[in-house]
Amino acid sequence: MKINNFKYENPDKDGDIRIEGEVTIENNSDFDIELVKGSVIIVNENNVTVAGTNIDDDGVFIAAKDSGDIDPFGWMNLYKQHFESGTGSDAKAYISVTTYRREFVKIGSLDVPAKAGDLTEIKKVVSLGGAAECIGVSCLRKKDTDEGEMDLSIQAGIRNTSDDYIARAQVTVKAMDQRDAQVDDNVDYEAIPAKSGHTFQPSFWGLKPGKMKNGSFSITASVFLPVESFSLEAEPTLSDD
Amino acid sequence: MHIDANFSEEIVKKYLKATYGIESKFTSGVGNKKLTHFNFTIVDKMLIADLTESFKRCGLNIKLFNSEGISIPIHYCLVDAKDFKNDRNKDHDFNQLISSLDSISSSSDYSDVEWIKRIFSRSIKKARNTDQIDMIENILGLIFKNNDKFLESDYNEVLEKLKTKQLII
Repeated sequence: MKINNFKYENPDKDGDIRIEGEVTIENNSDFDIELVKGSVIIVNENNVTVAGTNIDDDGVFIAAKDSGDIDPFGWMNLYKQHFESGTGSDAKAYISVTTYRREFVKIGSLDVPAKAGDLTEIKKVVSLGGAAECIGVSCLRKKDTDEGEMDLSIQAGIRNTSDDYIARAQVTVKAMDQRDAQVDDNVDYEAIPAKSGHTFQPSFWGLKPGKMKNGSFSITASVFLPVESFSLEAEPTLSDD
Repeated sequence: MHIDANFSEEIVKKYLKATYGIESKFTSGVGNKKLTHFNFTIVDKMLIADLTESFKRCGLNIKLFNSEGISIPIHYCLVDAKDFKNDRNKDHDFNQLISSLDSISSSSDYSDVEWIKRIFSRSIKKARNTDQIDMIENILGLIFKNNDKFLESDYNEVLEKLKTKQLII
């Protein structure tokens, strides 16, 4: 990992100091990287923290053996009062990142319950990349709302069976009508510590019973597993701009 | 939608999904800011950055993402957010390697020169047309000119691979 073009600007009229730079990551693994998480901590000349931010880049894709860039700073600003010199010349950044690969699994299809009080189920335990498991999925149809919409309680439990922290477990549910056309979808994610679990409860609003008659829910899940961790320290230089 | 101290996270999520077609989730609060004495209005032209910042000022983190769970870039406004797709075309990997070459090209570490050469090798492998070959050749020339740690032998090594690829395309 390397930081490039790490620059600070002179303070603006409000005393804000903008910093920028890119971090280039080399993916030495045989996996594609689809998530990068980490942190930036900025210290002043006394090695005291004056700013920081979290890195959570889920739009990244670095193919196996390739390199890719991320923006670790976003819109982070420093303030001239943070530094004795009143500039960013004494700033120092501690940057740590971990790259993650994605394991994607089709959990299955769940029928839409035909009437209030009905429960439909996916009765199987599905392994998610050997690191986690989905312990079946259920859908309970409650009494329709006053607006004539379906009130569904969908529950999908995912358990982290590994010793690793799963930075993200993600469940996607697509509501399909009887012609297999997508009516709506829902996606949610959570971090799951080792030997812990989380119950996803996807919500759908505005689903009409007639539209979903004989329909189904198509369910997929992903877990993001750690590949490699990097860290560096760097000091910015004054921007030419 | 007007947000004040009595707002419901569930209703905000429902509103953002129904109105703008985007998913959202509130995560743990930030700092010790109070939820009192604040209000703002969610409007079509509001930037994702402004929405997240507004909630942050209330001590709440909100994440906004598309139907694939990918965060919507902060420069999108709400009304356009549903159009955000993180499509990777067939040149994605090549373009990313070129971007990395561009970023790392000024490096003065010898160890990074080996990295630069590896990125060149990967981008040559992924190049699919003469335009891309030309692009690599231009960057190669620039790095050789501007980075004194990138020696003539390095330049020739990459150039040879480039010429071999040129014959294949």
